[in-house]
Amino acid sequence: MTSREDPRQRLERLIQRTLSELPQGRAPASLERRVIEAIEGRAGPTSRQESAWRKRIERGGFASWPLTARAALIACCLASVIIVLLGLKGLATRLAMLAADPSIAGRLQALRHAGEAAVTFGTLPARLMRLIPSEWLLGGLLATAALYLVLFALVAIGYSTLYATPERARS
Amino acid sequence: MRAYQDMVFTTAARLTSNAAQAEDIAQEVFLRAYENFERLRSSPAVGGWLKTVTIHLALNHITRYRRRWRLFTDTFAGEATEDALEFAATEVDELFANTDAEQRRALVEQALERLPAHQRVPLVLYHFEEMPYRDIAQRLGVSLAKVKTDILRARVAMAALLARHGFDAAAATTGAES
Repeated sequence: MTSREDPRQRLERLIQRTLSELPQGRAPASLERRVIEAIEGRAGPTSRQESAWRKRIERGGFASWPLTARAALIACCLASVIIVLLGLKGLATRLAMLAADPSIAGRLQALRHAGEAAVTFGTLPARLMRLIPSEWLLGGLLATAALYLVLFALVAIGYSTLYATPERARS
Repeated sequence: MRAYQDMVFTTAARLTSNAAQAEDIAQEVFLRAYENFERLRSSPAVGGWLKTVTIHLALNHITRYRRRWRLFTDTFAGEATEDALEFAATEVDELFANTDAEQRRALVEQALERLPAHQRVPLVLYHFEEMPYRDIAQRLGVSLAKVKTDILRARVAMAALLARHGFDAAAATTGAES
């Protein structure tokens, strides 16, 4: 009967039969004590309330918050937006007044020069790259890629040889 | 808790292949059950709930360390030939003929422990937890083809491990009888 059966199905059937014989294991005696100790550690009223509150937030999101909490958060957000807008408006007015002052205008000019110098310094790496011959760059990239592949292959061969092929047990 | 602790621990131990990790997972499962006690105390599906949470926590634990190895196992994966499958099936068949139930239990437990996680986990989910291939693929975040291949390789590897140790056990039994 089994000689005509597809080898895949035969193997599946036999492994299923083998595994189904396996009885349930026994939990270690320490498990019950550990669970009770952990429950006692968490059982304080504060931690339970905190846990319930955290769980509520995680599961339900903003919609599940209490109404007062939602209203308070929205009010805080609106107040923050108004404060930031008012602050920006005040700052803009103040800057406009400062820019009109001739003594301040001179300092602003110095700041502008410093900004231009920073931009020039920022483009320095790009300029240096243009000085390096393209053959060197290409060679460096190829050498890096080759080293990466060699390292990858060594690790993968080591892993597959030492760990990933229990089929070797056959030999 | 006493009614379910063996089931929870065994499920976690089969997936993780590590008793200490299985105990940690079992502890977390029962703490979650405690937090949901009011809902679960009158539920007839408490066993199913505990099993689902156990599998979920065990897989979370395993997948935390699995991603880095997945590329290697995919790269060095050979296809099992028909001859290899036939040979593996014959080996398992012979194991049943040559060993008793107690010997087989010890051999199967050893073989399961020796399987690498990427083979053991889908094998356990398929054969013990009776999850379909598609659900296993979805739960592990891999393709359906990979799940099928990993389970097939796990069966072949398991047959090889059982055969190697089974013949030793059978020889020991025969030697003791004579």
